[in-house]
Amino acid sequence: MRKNKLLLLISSAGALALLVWAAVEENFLREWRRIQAQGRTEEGPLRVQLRQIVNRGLGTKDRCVSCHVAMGPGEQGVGGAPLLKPHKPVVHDPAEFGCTVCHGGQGQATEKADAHGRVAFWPEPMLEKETTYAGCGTCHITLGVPEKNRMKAAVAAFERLDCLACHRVDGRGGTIRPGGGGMEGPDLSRTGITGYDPEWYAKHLAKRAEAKSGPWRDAFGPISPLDLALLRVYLDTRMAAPGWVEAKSVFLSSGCLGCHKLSGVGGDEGPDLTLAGLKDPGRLDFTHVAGKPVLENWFREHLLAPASVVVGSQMPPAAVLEERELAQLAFFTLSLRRRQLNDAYVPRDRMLATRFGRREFARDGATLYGAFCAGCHGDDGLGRRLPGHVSFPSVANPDFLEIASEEFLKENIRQGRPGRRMPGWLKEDGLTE
Amino acid sequence: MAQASDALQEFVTNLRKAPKRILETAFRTGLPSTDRARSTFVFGNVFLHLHAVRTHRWSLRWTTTLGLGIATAAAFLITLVTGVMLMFYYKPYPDVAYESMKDIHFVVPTGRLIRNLHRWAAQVMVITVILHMARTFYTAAYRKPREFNWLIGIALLVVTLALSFTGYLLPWDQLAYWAITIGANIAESPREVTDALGLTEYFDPRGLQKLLLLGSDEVGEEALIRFYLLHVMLLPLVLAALLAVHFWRVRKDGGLAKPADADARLAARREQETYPVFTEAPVKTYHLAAIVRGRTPAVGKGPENTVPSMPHLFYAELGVTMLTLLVCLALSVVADAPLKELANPNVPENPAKAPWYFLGVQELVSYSAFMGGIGIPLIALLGLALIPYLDRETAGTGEWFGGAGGWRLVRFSAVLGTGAAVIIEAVAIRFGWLREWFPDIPQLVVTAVNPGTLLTLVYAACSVWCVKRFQSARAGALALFTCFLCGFVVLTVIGTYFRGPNWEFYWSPADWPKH
Amino acid sequence: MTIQAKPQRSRLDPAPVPRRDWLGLSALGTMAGALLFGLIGLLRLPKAAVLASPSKRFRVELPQALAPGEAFLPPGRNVAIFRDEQGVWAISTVCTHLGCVVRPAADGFECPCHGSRFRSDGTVTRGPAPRPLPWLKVITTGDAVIVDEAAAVPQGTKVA
Repeated sequence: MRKNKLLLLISSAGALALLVWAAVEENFLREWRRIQAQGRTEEGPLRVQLRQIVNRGLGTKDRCVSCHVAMGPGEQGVGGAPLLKPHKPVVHDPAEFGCTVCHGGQGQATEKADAHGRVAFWPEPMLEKETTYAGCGTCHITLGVPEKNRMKAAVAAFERLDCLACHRVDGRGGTIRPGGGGMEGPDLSRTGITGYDPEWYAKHLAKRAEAKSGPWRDAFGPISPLDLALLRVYLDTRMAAPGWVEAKSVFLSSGCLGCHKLSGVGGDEGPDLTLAGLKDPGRLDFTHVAGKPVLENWFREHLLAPASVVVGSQMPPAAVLEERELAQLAFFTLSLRRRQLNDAYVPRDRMLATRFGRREFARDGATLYGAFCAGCHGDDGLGRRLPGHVSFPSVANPDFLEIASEEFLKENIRQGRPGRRMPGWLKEDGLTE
Repeated sequence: MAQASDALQEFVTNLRKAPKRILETAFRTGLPSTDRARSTFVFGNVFLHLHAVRTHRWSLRWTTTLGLGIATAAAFLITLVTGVMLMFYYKPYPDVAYESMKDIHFVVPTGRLIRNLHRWAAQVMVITVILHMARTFYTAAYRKPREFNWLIGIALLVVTLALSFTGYLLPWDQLAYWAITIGANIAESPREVTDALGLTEYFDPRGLQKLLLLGSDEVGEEALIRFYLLHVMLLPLVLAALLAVHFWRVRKDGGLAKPADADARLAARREQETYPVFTEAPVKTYHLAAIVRGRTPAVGKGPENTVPSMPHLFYAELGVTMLTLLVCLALSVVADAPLKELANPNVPENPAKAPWYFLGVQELVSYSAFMGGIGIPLIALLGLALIPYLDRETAGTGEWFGGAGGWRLVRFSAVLGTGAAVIIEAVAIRFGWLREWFPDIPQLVVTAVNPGTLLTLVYAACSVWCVKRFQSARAGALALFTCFLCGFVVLTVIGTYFRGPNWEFYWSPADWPKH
Repeated sequence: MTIQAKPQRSRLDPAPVPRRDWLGLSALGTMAGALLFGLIGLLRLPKAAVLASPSKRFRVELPQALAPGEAFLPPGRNVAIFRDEQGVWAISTVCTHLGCVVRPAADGFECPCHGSRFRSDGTVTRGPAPRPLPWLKVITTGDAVIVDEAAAVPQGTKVA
């Protein structure tokens, strides 16, 4: 019996010790408790408790605010540790939307590694700081984006015509009315979402005609039709995410849609890209990827040398030359992460695209070529020769263009060339412009 | 007037004495400081009276049972209590179930520890139940009059595995979903035979089994709610009922099995712990419930070498229980129960593995669905069930490796069992099996001739040889049981560590190809 | 046989206890302690650490054209916010009787469930409501207002 008493004593002591340890660990040593214990508000020390942002419409329960306290709803004047500081001002209030909608990661977690999602068995790690704006793609779709040269021309036109003298865009420009009463002209950062008055030019001209002196007289002048078209492109694409729109314009110049589908439009040779940004990095092969094993680096490597990351890939390497453009393509692909949304939260741009058939890309010929054809036929239309691939013919050769009738070109585009890699586009109505 | 004040006096006195009287009426036997009080206490208490009032000293030795039965019951108790607590937060609907698991892990107070405890205690329970069965077999404790209790034990083994299996699905992660898909497909393996015989139109046990188990033709919300019902209500009730019978049977069979010469072998104890008996006239001369079949405290023989259950047996039981709790707690504090990504029916885990105790079966299933899934498990269960009815000998009951053959036979069978399993597996892995050599071979031939059936035949042959050699059914049983146990271990180890994507053989997970 | 020559101790006599069974008592005590500690831990589980409903503090922007004395009812919240020259204040619209949501009326608030009526400052004029409608803590920040439904302030507190 003595042995059994000893067994009981030792086992119970051990069990008690483990229970006490577990209790201490949970109630005193958790990361979020230690962080909150450093916090101070005006009324005294911060109350240490689990905090979360609940949004039933989006289906989120984000506990990021257990460490990032000041980002939570209604928190004011919390100080004491850098982690506790509030979110910098952004379009969507984190206190209402939660964090994971834009940033990714594991909202339900309360430990740093788990919450940031960079753990095994969590398919959606938090976006890196450099690519945070890829999160806009969770809900939004940019509409009417042109290919990159036209995009650059549009931005240049806006800058050249000095609209920023009166209007503010993405925190730049605009002037305050001297006599009070707000800004001189409305903020144009989000005209792509909210829309704008189509008669703006006529009204501006009318105002100028009336004005005797001041900015209306001096700063505004008539604008050529070409510039007006560029300004229209510019305004249509303002979504308070200029980097994202620029990245999309590079995408639409690389001919990716020739083989890949995006939101139902595009070719069938390659996989659908609509949710490419939600690939689970844990299931990808990073042996040939330089840098951190994150999704954008995998995309970057994929663009440079597709067969090195996807065995047996038939994709020709992307025809971009600059490092910056490569990064932009990777960034844009990362932003392709649209998820199902409660109707209350579907933004206007997405509604227009999905329910009313507005196109994501501009309808001019250069953009269409850039979006669908440039991947194989080259940026300049002179075709591409790549090792390991059948060479893609030139379509911009002046001799070819002289001989080929418009009907011939149209027929080729509609029906494709059976037996070769040129696909037919007949089912995509409206594209044979 | 005087009467009224007397009555009032009495009222006040009664009120004052009430607390003490509450205790007295609850515990009527008083403090158990005499043997009689101890006996009465155990006998009269509703929770304790399943125990015999006195326990034989042989039963209390650590080496008799290794405490495995109590350890299993303790593990069950731990899973029961933690399981009920988990029910406060777990929601049995796809996707929502996974979120509730995440909530339990991250925000529910003590949720992480309780969930870990539940999972590890369940694993401990499966292990101890298998070890307990092995102990009971090796000490020949299934012999007369304990045959039926052996059968109840087998039923308990099956229910324990079923409980573990049904609970496996509940987290609704990739691990759970695909493990249960595999398990459900194993349940449909009779189809292999009915297809080959062309019978499926008329007799489709697969369809019926799968429909009953899953409530649908795939693993989805119907399956989840059924598994939940089975796991939290039906199977625990069945287990509790069987446990009650199992314990009761131990009493009725005269306590735990012990060798015939147990009394002689027990070392002489110090004087003060054994009392002479029957020195006084007993208070009662009969007690109907005390009539017990068998050879233990029989009339006319004093209860030498028995000690009062309170406190001797209870210290043993409590000691083992707290040890089990300690082990489960240690596991829970150190290692988190697994939780992979949300279940995705479009992304199969590769390899998709059943829970570890079914991996041996899954390994056999990779050769023949019917034999591995239904045939051999049924043969094994049948074999186990028949042991007490085939081995009617009496030599060596209660002794470790008792009976003809003994430890040497067990050692020999262990080597043979392990070796045969390894060799047959090596051949199959290196050279493939029948279908690789003869592509057109009919299915029935493959069902009949595969590593599982071959292994069974080898073990059976060994067992029959032992029966002849030792002229004893017990020797045959020792050989067969040991072979099967070792075969089970070998197959489970192969299934756990050496099978990778597409169930190919790999020496280590580092060699697995990346998608 | 069982009866021996030496003087016998009867089974009815309590066994002499020369010293306390420290080992046994400490073993049982430790077990009881461990189980009690565990039980307390188990009992803490049902009380959720964090509630699955939106936070009680929320931020709201008041419409520019809010007349003094006119109630602004943010959607999805049970408060009424007012503004005048002295500042902003918020009154809870949860009836203090049994929790129905009161509606603004011409002279204050009225509850549709059991007919309680309140003045515009929350005091009860009629009906079974036992307490006035609480005034809630308000913090003004720039162009928005933060209301804390969980914190009450004395009646009449207006925040500039």
